[in-house]
Amino acid sequence: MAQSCSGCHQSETPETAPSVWSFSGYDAASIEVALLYYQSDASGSTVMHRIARGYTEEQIHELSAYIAGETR
Amino acid sequence: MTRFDRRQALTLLGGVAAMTALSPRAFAQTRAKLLIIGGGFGGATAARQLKLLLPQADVCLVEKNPVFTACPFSNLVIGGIRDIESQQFGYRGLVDLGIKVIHDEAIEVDNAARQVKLKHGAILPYDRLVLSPGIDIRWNALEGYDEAASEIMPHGWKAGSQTLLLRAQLEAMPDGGLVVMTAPAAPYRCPPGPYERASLIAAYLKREKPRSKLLVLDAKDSFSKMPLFQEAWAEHYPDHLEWRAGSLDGRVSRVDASTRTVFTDFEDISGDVVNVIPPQKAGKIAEIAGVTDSTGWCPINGISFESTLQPGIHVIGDATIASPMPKSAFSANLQGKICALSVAQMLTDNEPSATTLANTCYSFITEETAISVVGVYRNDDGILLSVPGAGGISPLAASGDIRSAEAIQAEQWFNTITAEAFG
Repeated sequence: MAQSCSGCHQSETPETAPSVWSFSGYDAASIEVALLYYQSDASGSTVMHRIARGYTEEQIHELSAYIAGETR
Repeated sequence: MTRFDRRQALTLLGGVAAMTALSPRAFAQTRAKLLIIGGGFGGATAARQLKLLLPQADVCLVEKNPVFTACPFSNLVIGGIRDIESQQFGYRGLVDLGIKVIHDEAIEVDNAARQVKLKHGAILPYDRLVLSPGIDIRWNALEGYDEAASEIMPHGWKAGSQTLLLRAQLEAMPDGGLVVMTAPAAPYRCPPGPYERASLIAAYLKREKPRSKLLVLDAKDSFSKMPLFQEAWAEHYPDHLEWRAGSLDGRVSRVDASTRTVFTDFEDISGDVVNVIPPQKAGKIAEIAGVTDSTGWCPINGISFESTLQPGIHVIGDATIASPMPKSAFSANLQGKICALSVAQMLTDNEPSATTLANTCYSFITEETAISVVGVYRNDDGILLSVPGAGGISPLAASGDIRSAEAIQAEQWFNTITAEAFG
């Protein structure tokens, strides 16, 4: 499931990425909070809002744990 | 192998092992022969992921060109604000991972014998074959548009010399000229591509040849991100861009390269520069391998991306029938990753499982602003379907800040996706 994420997000921060966050340095809880925020913010229109609406809370939980583990 | 690659491989293995209750050792020991044909966003990604997942496997990539020229962002080259060199990527990163890269052309596939023949005579055996052949032009599907015509009226739909030819023609055109673009019916590579290109050509004309104009003749009445493009065109290019719908005599049925003329039902229009974006089909090797159906594209299982026509052959990228996933570099890259994981699972007697997939495509509307479309999909039972309530396009009537932010995101996406594919 996390394979879609790495189309835009790198696991380590490249010097030239001011607005697309890399995953490094975030724990599972922080990633999950961010994704749940995107999912629940009905008026939001960024790419991440539009993506997060396609995942269940359970999938977001699994994704967050996996991504945090991969970039620990 | 760099630290990053090794770690990526280990975590991929860990993730797969957790999903399939499988020892990473089973993956590590597979010595299967895995052959990938086509080194674009799909094929290069699949090759890298297969090698990372199955380090002992014999992973071989066959690609005609020693240097890959990327289509995403090539409309900026046509618009005169980006160099072609920024679009070009070599295969060194793949070779360094231990992938065998052969610059040759596959001309025969014998799936019963599990082998591929190359133009220069080599025979390559395989246990699993991954085809990522991209698109070919359907020459003469639009009457009068053959290979020779494309040297006069370039398509620019495979990046490289065609991109540069179109750019050179725009540069050579005197101010006051008419540029004509024809856009095809779906399906074709990069659904919003013609309209991003139209925007950037109009931006160039407005900037440097303000008495000139672009006329877009479309086979369709609607297209990807249409309300956003039309909003941008009304705001930025009211005097430089006219789009004509298919039902309003926009459909071009014939072209004549000798006079740079295109013919609709009721009108003959001659341009100073004519960009014909023609009908397309899966790259030729797909047809040779027997993985295309009567549409000219390749039906696949949406979980494994294995051909539904030829077991043992997987197809990824623009050549597939993966709708609602678009024919995009993002989709090709993701399909390459999903296909690689499925191949690894199949080789170790595990069933690939359904997942959630996403696609994001950015399009520039001016030199410094962009818009996006997102899709989220499920592939349960091997059938790709959009997840209801997710995805969609950038907001209409948004501030310039939102549009500039998406242009910056677009650039970062390009850097990430090319690193994902080419290392």
